[in-house]
Amino acid sequence: MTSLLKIRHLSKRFAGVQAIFDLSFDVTQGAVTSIIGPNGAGKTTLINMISGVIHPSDGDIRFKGKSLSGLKPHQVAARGIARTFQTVELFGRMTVLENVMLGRHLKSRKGLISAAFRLPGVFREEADLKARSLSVLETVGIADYASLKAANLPLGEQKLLEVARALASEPQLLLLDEPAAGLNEVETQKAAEMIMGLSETGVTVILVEHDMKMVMAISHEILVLNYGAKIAEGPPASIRTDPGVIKAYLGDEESGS
Amino acid sequence: MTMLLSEKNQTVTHILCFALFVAALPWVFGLSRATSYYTDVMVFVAIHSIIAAGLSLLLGYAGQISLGQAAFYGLGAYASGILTTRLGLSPWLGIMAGMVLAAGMAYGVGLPALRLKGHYLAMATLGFGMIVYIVFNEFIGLTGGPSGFGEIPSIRIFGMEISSTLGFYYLAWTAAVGVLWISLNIVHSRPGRALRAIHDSEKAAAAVGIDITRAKVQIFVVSGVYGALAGSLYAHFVTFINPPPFDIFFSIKVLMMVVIGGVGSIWGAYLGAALLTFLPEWLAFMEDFDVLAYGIILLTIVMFSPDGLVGLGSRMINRIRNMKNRGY
Repeated sequence: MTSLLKIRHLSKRFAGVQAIFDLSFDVTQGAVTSIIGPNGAGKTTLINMISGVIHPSDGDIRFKGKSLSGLKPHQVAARGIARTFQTVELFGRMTVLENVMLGRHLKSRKGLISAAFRLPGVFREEADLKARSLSVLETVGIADYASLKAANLPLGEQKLLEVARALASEPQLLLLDEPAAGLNEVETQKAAEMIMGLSETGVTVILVEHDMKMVMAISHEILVLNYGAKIAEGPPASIRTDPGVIKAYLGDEESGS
Repeated sequence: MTMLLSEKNQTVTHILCFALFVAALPWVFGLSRATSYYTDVMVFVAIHSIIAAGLSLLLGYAGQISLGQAAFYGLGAYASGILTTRLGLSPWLGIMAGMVLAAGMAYGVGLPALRLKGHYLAMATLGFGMIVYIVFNEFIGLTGGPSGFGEIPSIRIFGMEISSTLGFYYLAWTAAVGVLWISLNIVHSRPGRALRAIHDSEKAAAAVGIDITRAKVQIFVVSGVYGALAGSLYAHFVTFINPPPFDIFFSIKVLMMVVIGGVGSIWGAYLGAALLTFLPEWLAFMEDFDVLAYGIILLTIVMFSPDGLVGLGSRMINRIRNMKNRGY
């Protein structure tokens, strides 16, 4: 088992708030690694640091042996890391298909000059891009909505579209930030099956999720954060019985909730 | 795939129809009037359309405002004028030089301003426009200062001098239709899609690997090059240049062309350019009140149709369709 992502002594301070504190962990290639913890534990901060949206105050993130430090989000994406957002971030005025085509932005090459003068190959690339994007929509099961405006989709389908867009880039590492938030039980079940299917095709997944049933069912590895620090790490069976985790979730005299 | 091809063919058909319409127009004018007055105004519509198309790409597709398009217009005009009169170069070289100069300037101004989020480009271009205007006025040895200079030669094609208004009409509209074709190609392509994506969500655009700064700078450079091309055509058509046509008010007028025509539509830029070029001519009979009427008309359009003439037109077409469907 090789680790695709290595995080070492990672810290992030926001104006006096310690969002992440001296965090180290490895993500195994091909596995589903879930990050759980109470609200404000630093889960989304961690996702944002991996994807280059914010930069760590300290420590290092290495992907396939190479440091991601100082890279901008589009450069992180070019390394093979795709993500979704906690609150849906779609290209709302564009069609469902166009959203997925944009997911393959890095897989296509034609630039401004060849597009402006319609140099040879532009049509072929567009047609190919469209066909491949449609097949991604079929995989996720929303191909029927291809020509609809993304903003007009129901929330469940919007969440799926975000996953489809991320998958279109054929990422090696997929960061999913609460994919089940706002979904009903049936939809959550579908999302869980999809994530398991992805992991079987070799995509490494980091999942941030509050739905414990889903997390316990599909994770190979779970990382528990509380106040920005790691309090437990291990397979679902050991996390379930970890006294520190139970305390963090159920609360004690000091933390109140 | 068939859908894709038909979409592209539709664009080409629209452009061809438009080109035929424009080609026939001088003959329609000629039938009703002996004068070439409308043909003359239409040359300015072509020139204004080119510069407005650039700003339309920038504003409608990258969501950025430039208040300095007149500076690129001026750079093109002065590059053409100075190189042809002082160095005796071919007008074609002058046009090229203007476009290259504008591209470089747009890159230099755009890169720092577009790195930041927000409307820093508007401020940077406002300053840039003012500096360029001051240079036109003060570098008297080169630009002739406030009184400008004339005797700019006409453009020659295959040894044929394009000096008549009708000849220049066809030249300017060939350029304007070419710019329309290029702009629509950009809009309907990978880079155009990336620009629209940035407009919708910068966060998501970056996450799919779009280099936001690069995409915005690229399109700003394109808008600068269009501006310079328009300026060169102006210089060779009027054959005399001085600073006033390249001041901040012209930059604002170009912005109005785009907004009145319809932000987010290249065709809108052409409509807006036509309206804002013809309107002052039509209102000239009102003498001192023309500015007032001009303002009222523009304000009315913006108030009743925030998406401009293109939005107004598509709503009217939809209404007529609905009426037909209901069987009236």
